[in-house]
Amino acid sequence: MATAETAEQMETRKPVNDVLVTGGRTFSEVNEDVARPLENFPTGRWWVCFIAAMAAFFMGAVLLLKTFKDGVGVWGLNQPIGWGNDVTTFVFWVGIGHAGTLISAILFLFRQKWRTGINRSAEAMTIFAVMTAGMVILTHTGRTWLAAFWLLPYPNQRQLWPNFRSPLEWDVFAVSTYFTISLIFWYMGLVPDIASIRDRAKNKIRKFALTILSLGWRGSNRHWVHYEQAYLIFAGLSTPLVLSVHSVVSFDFAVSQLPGWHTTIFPPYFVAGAIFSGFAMVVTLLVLAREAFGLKHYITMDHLEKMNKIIMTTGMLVGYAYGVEFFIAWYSGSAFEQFTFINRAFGPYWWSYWIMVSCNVLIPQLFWVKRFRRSIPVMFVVSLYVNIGMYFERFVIIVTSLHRDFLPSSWATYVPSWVELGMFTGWIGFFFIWFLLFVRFLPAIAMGEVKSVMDQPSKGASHA
Amino acid sequence: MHNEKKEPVLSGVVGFFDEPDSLIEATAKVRDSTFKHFDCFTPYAVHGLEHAQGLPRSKVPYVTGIFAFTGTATAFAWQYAASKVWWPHIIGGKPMNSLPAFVPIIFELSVLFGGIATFFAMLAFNRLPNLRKRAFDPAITNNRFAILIENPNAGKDEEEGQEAFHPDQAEQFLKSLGAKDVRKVFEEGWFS
Amino acid sequence: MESTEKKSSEVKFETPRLWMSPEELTPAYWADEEKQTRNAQEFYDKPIETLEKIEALDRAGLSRRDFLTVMGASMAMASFACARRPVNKIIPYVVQPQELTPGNPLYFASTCRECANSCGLLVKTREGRPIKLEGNDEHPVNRGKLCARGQASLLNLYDPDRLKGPLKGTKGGDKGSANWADVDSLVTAALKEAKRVRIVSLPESGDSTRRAIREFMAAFADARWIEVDPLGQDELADGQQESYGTRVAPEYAFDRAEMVVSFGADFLGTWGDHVRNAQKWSKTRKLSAAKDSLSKLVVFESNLSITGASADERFAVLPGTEVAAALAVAHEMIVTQKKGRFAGNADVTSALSGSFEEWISKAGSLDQAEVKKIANELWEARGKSVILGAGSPGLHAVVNLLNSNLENDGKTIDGNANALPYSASNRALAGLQAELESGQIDVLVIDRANPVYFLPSGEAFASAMKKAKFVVAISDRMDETARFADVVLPVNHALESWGDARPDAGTFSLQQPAIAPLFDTRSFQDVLIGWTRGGVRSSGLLAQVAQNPKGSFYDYLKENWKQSLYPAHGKGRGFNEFWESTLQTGVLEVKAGPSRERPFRTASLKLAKDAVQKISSLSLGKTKKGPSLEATGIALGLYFKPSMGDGRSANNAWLQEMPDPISTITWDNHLNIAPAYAAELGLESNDVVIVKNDQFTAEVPVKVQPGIAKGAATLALGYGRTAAGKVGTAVGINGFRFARFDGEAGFRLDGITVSIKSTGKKYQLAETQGHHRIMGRPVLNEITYDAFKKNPNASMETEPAVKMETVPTLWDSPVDYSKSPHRWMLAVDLNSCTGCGACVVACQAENNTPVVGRDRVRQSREMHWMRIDRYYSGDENSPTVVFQPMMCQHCENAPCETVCPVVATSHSEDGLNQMTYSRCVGTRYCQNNCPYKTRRFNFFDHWKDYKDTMNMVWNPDVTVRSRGIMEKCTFCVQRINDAKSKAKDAKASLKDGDVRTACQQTCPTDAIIFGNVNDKDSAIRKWMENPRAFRSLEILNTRPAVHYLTKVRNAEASEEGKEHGHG
Repeated sequence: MATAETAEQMETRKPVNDVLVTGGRTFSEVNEDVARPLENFPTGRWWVCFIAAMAAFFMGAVLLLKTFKDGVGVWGLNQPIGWGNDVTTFVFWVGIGHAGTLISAILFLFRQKWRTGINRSAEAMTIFAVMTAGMVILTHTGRTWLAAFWLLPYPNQRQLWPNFRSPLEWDVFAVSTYFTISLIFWYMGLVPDIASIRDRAKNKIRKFALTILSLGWRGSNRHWVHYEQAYLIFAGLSTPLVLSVHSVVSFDFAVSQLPGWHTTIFPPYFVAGAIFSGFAMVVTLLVLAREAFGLKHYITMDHLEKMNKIIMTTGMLVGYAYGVEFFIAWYSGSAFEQFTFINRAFGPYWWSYWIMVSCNVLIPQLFWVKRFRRSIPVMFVVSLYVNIGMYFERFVIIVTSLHRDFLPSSWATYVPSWVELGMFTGWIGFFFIWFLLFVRFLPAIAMGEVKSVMDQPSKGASHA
Repeated sequence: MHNEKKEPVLSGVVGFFDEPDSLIEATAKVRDSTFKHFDCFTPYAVHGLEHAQGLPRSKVPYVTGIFAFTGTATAFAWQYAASKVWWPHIIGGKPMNSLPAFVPIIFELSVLFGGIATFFAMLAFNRLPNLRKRAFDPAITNNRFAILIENPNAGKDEEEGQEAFHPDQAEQFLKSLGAKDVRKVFEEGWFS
Repeated sequence: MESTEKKSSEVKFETPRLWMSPEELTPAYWADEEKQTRNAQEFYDKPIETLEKIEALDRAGLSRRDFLTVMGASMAMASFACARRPVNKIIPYVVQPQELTPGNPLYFASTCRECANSCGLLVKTREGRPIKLEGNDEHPVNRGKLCARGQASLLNLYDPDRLKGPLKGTKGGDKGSANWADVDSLVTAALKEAKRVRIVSLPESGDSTRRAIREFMAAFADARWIEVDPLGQDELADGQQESYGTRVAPEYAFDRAEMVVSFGADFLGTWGDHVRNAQKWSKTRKLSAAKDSLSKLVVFESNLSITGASADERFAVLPGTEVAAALAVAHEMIVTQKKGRFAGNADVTSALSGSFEEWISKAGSLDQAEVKKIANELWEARGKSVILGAGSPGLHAVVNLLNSNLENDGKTIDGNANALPYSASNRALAGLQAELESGQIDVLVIDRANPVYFLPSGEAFASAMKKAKFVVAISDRMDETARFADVVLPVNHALESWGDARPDAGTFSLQQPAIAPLFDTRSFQDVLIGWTRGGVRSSGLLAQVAQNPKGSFYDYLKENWKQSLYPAHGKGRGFNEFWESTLQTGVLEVKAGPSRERPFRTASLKLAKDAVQKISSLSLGKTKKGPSLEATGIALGLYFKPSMGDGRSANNAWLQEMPDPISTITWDNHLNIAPAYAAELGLESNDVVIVKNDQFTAEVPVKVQPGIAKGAATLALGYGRTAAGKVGTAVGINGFRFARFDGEAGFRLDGITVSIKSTGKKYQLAETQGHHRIMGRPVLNEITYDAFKKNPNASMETEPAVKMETVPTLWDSPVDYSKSPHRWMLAVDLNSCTGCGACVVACQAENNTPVVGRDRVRQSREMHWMRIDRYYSGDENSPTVVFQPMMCQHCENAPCETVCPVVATSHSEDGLNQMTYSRCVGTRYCQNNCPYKTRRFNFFDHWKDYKDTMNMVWNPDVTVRSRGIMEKCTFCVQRINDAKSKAKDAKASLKDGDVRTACQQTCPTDAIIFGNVNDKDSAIRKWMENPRAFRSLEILNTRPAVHYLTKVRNAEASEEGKEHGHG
């Protein structure tokens, strides 16, 4: 009680002229705003979303069991086309999982203060996306129950080891490392904020849980010194990591010899694509979140506009990559390469190629116009298109390269089965379950960091 | 909660500030005063405060470096042994020790080891998790800045040499620095 | 007592140092005499007894082999409680004692009865069950080779749809199960009253069987035996009859022919003695540094057959007009150029009256100059050429004229020395049908023949059968014909029964069972014996054997051989020795004398005139294009597939799933129409059309098929079974229903016209090949003979052929393969490969490759480890065809190995790309990364589809793969290891030819060779040094172990020859 009172007394209104947090919020108001969704019973909208996500996930789970029971034959895959919607989905989610760490790490190193409003939820998104991707790639194998541990190099009596030359094995390490580091990074960032909501928690159980989670954080400056140092190092580690992960994922294709996969441009091309899709997903989610939880003051239009600029830039980067692929195919003089790319654009799967181009390259061009960059509906729709486009980018790369390769005799086509599509929906549900639980139980805004970039109360201003 | 404790140990005297800059000024003064044992408490990392408080640079990076390198070495040794010594196979006409193919995992493991080490080093240096010392004021994680002049004898037994510590002087001193709500705080655990 | 003992002990007893029981320590023990003697014998009296027994046996003349035989047989019986007849006379083929240990195979020599050609078999049995059929190297017909159907006939043995016991009931009505006693009594009762008895059976060439049937028929006032064979050669035999006076199926010496001209005869695939033909013909197609002579094959045909695909020059003619083409050639040679003995012969000239152009035009649009050229080339190669045909007797008359004019008869064509009278006659069925309708027939016995299915007037025949007093069907299943019998007797599979065959005059082939009958079945011959025993007054040997209550056809066979063959060919050996040695080799070969030329009867040419009349009716009617298409007067050509034949094994999943060599379509037959013509009619592949003639109407899916004449359509036979079994029933359309059948013409597949109507419906055919052109990719080399003579490794498809030595490699190989004792490699000679598909089925049988079914083939999930890619080049309507057998290439730098995360696939030091099934987790990355797409993924647990008896077909040496794992060609690694361990036992090193892969073993044209290239003088080494050797997609530097030998076409390079890119 005493606490609350002091908080009341200490409340001071000051004229503010800041950009990063609008509406002249004070420190304590930050806590109020961020903690509100956590301390009240979830809204109807939240429940609708959550139940929908659960339903989708349940359907996916049932179909996954069917796959386990009958074999991956229930999917549309066939002889030349060993990968289809399954690996497409994997790359899709891994890609989305890149924005978070990028925002929290690279923008941190570049001292981009505006990141503070969005990095927490972006990181959460990263972690859940990578979780989803991991599940997808694990269950795409013919014998998941074995893949689950044979892919790990655990010491065993028979001295069997994985093949460290295989890009898939690199994936195992890249994705799991990325997940672990992102998770720790995210949790570390959470500790002071958990402490904040802990100190306002009324409910005993909640307070207990939060106390444990906060590791007993007291805001001591001795701690802050180590904490800040560690945070900086994490940013330093994550930056090359985030770049490496999608490079490794791109190796899954670049290291093979298949025309359309065997391409040196893939690592940067994939990373750009990942940032592209990641930011698109962040925009999609934050536009919803700031509406739902009244976080307009923290996730400001400026933030969104900056992200839209990045979306447009990376969109043009991938567009450039699309072009270069064609140029190199022609320049290489390899009949196989040339055929593959012509077949991409004008073969049986031409539609997927042009969906990709229009969603990823053309539509983001809207953001040249400031009005569109700052319009919530426009950016929401565009971000959705980008998500779709990036799914099809992976589909194009994987399927169109596989379905017509070296020997014309073995050409075939691939149509995803309803089971695959159902599972795809299921994975989306899986992702949103986690995300919704996150916004419900943990501070979606990095309060500590926001406060540090807010306009600081100063002597002169106090008691004015 | 407070009164359950029989003989509360005085952990020190705290004074509160509302603005980070006044905190920094005050902290510098405390640093130069006779009170050698003190700490600041802030809702977020106030930049410049560590200098005012005269704290040394964190040692965390060294730990990170050591473990990251361990990761590098482990990753290479492991892959080399597995592919050449323990379970050699002719794979795609490549040599048993296909070094270029080992690079990605070497990198990943370095980052993994380094990252995990960093986190635990941070906790270790901060003696976290710590459930014996509770935050003495909720406002600290919200919107207030505090200086705690610590009782050097807190947690010491009578046998050990007791340093001289006069809470009242400390209170006076803090008040003189413009601190508000100066008061004594007693040691408390989170669940005691 | 005591005292005496004491005394004695004092005197001579001393405690033994070693003792087994306390009593030995007492002197009393040693005093007991009989105890002592018993002890003395205790450990060796029993052995002595046995030894004596064995000696006794040996004295009785029971050789070690018999002893082994009995053991082998007892194993077989142990495996099958249902063994009814002791199979104790089976002689394992050259077998060493230690091979009788379980886990080691036993080989039995037998004879294939899948068709009338009677190839020699080696039946590989494991623990008493046949698991693989291989050709008998010592058999003159097939010399160790088998066709696809021969390979697959093994699966028929284990067909769960076989009858498990006799049935009795009403004609066309329900039938209840019965036991042999009462069906036999029923039949014999009917036979005792019977006057008129008719027996319809598939051709029986075996002397013993023929004799038995004759002796059986002796019991009746009026008995006739009709042999029918849809695959048979009625017209050929009739033509021979007319031209030369004897109704024979001649033997063709393709191996001595420099030029072969076939007028519609698919002699490499389905026509006549195709395995022997292909084998002989291929000998003239081998090219090496040593031998560079190449025969020439010219084919006039309506449907694109594998013979046409292998032809150097091919002409697409309208179905039934082959005769016109033949006449054109004859006219050019004899009338125009006045060459040969018949030049100026009045009858011949009049028979050939009419202009060359007229003939040509009748045959469709043929290149006149080309045909003229062929006439000249034939004349150049006179005496060293073979001309043959399939179609009307008239065509054969012309063909015979040509052969006689070119003096081939007696040189390359043997019509008297080794040729046997041709006994089968489908035409006779017309007479029978008439007899049946008149209701005079008392008993009709139908042995395995299925006239109700294959007769165009099948239903009519069925209703006629109802008029017979009593009908006995002897069949392995309740098929179309058996349904109209009073009693159905289940018949053995060939591998369960004794028998003999006489494929040609000099070859006596024995058929011995390799397993006791699985079900309560009997062989036809044993059935006859049973009836005789039941009171039918058969004569001669049959009666004798029947008297002995235990007498079976085995006794009959043995006795018959003793009487007929032993005296002449016993070579002074005891009969048993002669018998056993013949059983071992499976065949008795008797040198036939030299063949003599036969006088040609010019009168036979009148048949040609009739034939020409028939085809003059062929004229393309008017067509309405588009959705309401109606085209009339389309010439329909009916043809046999190498896989399905006449459909007698339609229930065989291996055959149903074997891709058609040309269309690569499985599980269906389809109406082939040429691209240009299809475009004219506005049809596409998978369009369903109504095909109609006066006899039959059916909905058939269309396949746009290059190489068919405009105005023609072709349809495969052997489909549309209505009572084949779970697998084969209602697959495709019964093309026989369109065929012509009447008393005088007999049973004819040519000269049929149909009308086509579009339905607007679609039906997706299960095609295994995605695209049909090489698109200028370095996949394979094909050059012309001229080019070859200039530069042996010149290439038409890949300019220049990339030699991998020129390709740099990043890393040195971790192992020096040339150092290791073995390095396995395989080579395929594209020049002799006819694409017949025998290797595909052989591989399936050997390696437990599952069958996946039509729908999964549609999804392109077929599991064949070995596929035959078929590429067209040149003009769409008269394409040149290349076959490329494609299996795992066992690349040195295998892309699949690198990408497997769990080392489930890796390389062995002798150059094998190994697949570790149990380690595979099914990422499918290896498949994606395989440039040759030869890896197969188990999308489901396919093995679960192999129901009850079918499980016996699994090869125990090869893992049956579960779902979720990758598989592929292993170079038959089980055979390699087997040979290695055999060599190890023999303390010898592997010799070249010790290891033969399943595909190599069965390839009728020896197009596949496998071996150890580190062995300097191995065959594979020689092939690889052949200037034609190349590797597929060499530019990728995957360094495949599989080499190919360039296809050389004996034709001058024309623009059509060149690749036209995307087709």
